[in-house]
Amino acid sequence: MTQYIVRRIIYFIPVLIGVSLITFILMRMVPGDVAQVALGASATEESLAEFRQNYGLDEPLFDWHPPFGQYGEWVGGLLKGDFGKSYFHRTPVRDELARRLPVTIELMVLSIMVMVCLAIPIGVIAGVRPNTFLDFVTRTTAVLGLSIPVFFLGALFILLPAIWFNWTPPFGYRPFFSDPTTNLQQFTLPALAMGIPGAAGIMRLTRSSVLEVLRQDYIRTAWSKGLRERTIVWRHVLRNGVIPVVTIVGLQIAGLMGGTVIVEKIFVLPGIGLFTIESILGRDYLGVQAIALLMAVVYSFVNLAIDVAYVWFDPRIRYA
Amino acid sequence: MATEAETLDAYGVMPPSRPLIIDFLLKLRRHPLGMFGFVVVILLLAVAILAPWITPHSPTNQDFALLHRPTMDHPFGTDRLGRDVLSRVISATPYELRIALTSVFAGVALATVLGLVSGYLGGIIDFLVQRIVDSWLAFPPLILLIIISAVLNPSISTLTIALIIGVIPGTSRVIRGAVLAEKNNVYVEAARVIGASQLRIMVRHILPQVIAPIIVIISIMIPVIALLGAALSFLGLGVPPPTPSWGKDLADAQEFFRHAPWMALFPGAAISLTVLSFNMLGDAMRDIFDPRLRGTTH
Repeated sequence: MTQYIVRRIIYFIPVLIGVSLITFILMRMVPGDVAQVALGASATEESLAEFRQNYGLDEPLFDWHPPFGQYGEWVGGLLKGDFGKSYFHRTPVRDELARRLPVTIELMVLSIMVMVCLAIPIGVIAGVRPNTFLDFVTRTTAVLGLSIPVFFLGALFILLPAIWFNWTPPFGYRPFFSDPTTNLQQFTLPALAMGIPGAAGIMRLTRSSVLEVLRQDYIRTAWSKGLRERTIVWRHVLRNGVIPVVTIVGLQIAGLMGGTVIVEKIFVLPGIGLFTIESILGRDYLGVQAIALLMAVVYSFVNLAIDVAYVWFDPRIRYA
Repeated sequence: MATEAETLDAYGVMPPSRPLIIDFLLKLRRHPLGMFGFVVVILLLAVAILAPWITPHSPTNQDFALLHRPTMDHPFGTDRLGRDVLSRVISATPYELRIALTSVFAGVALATVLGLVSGYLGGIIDFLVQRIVDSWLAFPPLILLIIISAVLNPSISTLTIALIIGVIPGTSRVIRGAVLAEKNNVYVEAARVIGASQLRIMVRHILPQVIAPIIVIISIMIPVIALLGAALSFLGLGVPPPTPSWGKDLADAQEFFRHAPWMALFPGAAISLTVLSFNMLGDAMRDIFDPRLRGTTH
């Protein structure tokens, strides 16, 4: 097992190099002059040149000699935990990330809670009682949930309470520990908007997984032993039925990371998602590179964690 | 479920094999939700084709009262520039459908070539292609598409290109898997023995065997890509103004949620209906074309 984890982490190194190259090259291909965007149209030639020199933008992108061009300098900084300096905010990117990460982490944790708490119970009930009215309703709702774009769901969550109750959530961000009520009011609707579409997919998978398990021989044995339905579902069906669900929860996390960009824009939450958009529009190379790399790393580790969790959930699986 | 087509008819005769599309429509009768999706998709295509003739007003002319609530003349109200929302929703349809369908079909075609070559030839080509695909797949899709759309200046064709790039990696991986499963079969060996070229084996022998997963992937990708495209437009990285766009129009409505909710409701409903109908049709297609997958994906 340890060997497997170590090998996965080693395989991760070429992916990491690929990811850093892709983000670096893509960002340099973005049209528009960074210095011009950062300083505005009225900037003089000298101030533009000075800006480029300050931020190392006059150096070649790649170079065979130390410090190996802009790419080499960026990667060298990364190894020391330095993401470079934002052109747009004129602050170190690391500070900006540290300021915004708590917002996005809270949003994602709440969304995953919404996702799992909605999807698994409903999916299990629909799987245990297939082709009933309840099953039909949940399946139709699930297709609907998969089809509504996150931004429309978010818009509805702002719009409908405003029309019906003349209530809008308090926009902006207050940290949980300084003002828990306001914080939860600010995060509930975005977490629902992000969690519900994800829940729809997980629910469908849970349902079909439970159906699959119910067909197994050992379930028939459990029935013929005269066990109660509740015992069968809780003790036998749930444990094996939930295994495939673990994988899809991991896949949904990628969707959630994309979703933060949209949801943070709608609900004006100053997290990583909003930073992504600001950095893209401001031609803030280092900001975008840091975010893309961060998300790719987190996503890859989530996938690794899921593969490891698999063994824990399902002792039949052994990685050689 | 739907296996009636392969049985003998009342006279004990095997019915003549039907064209794929007729066969599909006959089997679709057993899937009410799929039928619903199919009908709505046909209606959407009709709206898209007839859009220039059925819009009550011009989608770009700013002729009317600003932010006016829905009336008989403007069933969906007017927007912040005094444009008719119904006309904008209708005239966005051809763009939205063309972007989604073109990117999925082009992306799946390219991914098929990549998956066939990578899976069949194997070796160093396969290794390199798969490491690049690994790196692409390490990004959350929307994040990668946001960066790519920023590289290409926003326009309809660049949005399509970005979405094509979004379709290729995952799709090629699935097709490669299907090719790997096929390539060790005896019929491939036989073709090689009688001297068929690599290209011929790939196109004439393996490709027909992986058509079912390809159709299933297309049906899964259309709603996914329609949603991603709308999300990019919503973020201002897709269709540029003044071209009507459901995603962008919804984003423009954000400041007016309280006072002019119709500006957001109707474009949002249009996207949802489109994605919903493609999802329902896709679910049915998955059941019909790939019985092995039945029940595993939902």
